[in-house]
Amino acid sequence: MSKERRVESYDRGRIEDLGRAKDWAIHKPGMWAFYLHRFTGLVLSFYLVMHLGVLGTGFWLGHEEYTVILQGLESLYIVRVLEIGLFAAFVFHALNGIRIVMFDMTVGLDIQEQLFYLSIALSFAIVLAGVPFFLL
Amino acid sequence: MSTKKSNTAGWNWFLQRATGVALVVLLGFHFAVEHFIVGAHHITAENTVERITYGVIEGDHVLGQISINMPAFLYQATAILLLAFSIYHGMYGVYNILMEQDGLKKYRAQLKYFFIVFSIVLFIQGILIFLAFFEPFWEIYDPR
Repeated sequence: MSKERRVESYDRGRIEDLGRAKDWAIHKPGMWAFYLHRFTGLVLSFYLVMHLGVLGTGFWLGHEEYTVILQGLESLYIVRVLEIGLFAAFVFHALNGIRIVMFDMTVGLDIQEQLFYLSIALSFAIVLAGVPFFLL
Repeated sequence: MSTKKSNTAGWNWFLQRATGVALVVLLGFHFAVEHFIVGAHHITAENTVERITYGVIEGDHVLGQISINMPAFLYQATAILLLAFSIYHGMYGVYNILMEQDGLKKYRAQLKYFFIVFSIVLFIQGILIFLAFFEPFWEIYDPR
């Protein structure tokens, strides 16, 4: 990417930024898909770092500690519920990611909004079906 | 000086898509194994060794008793690829989001090197976790 790339944005000042908050209301589905994809991507990336940190106990502390720490975390109800959130983030990010790759191949561009609704609906269905696996 | 135009951005774009598609399968498999077959609260060091060293996936969770004997190298390949792809995809994704913030653009070089080094550290940590549950290694290394 060239370094002299021009960026067409400028500081509009705090007041105007706040005024632009109403723009949320006119966001099109594609924009929501974009924000949701980013949000879930950040969640998954953050989790990846934490995950490797926790599992690292297996190497750095040993096997017994690994089992104790994992089962200790899993005994907390909040952890189980957060895992459902993690699963939801993955499912939506994956489905919407497939949608993005389709667009890259110029497939489905004219039904992109419907495909966003479809990825939301499928995400709900898959996550709902997955709930027992996390809570039981 | 080479006259060939650098196409790093194009490659990164392609790799982000390719690893993304692969991760749908790999991370789907990871969730299926750890959460749907084994169940996260049933995970122990012992059954992690069975999976990583021998490719034996055993669980008695919501779906009932399940036992799958995968070729060990295949399970190990999914683990290592999942590690590499998720780090690349995740870290490059976060870097890209940061690079879209006007205030951070002047730190492009520093952030790039930070993410490269951080990704390598994560990858090494992942490999060490893998080795911890790879029996031939652990038998020699185990600090106890």
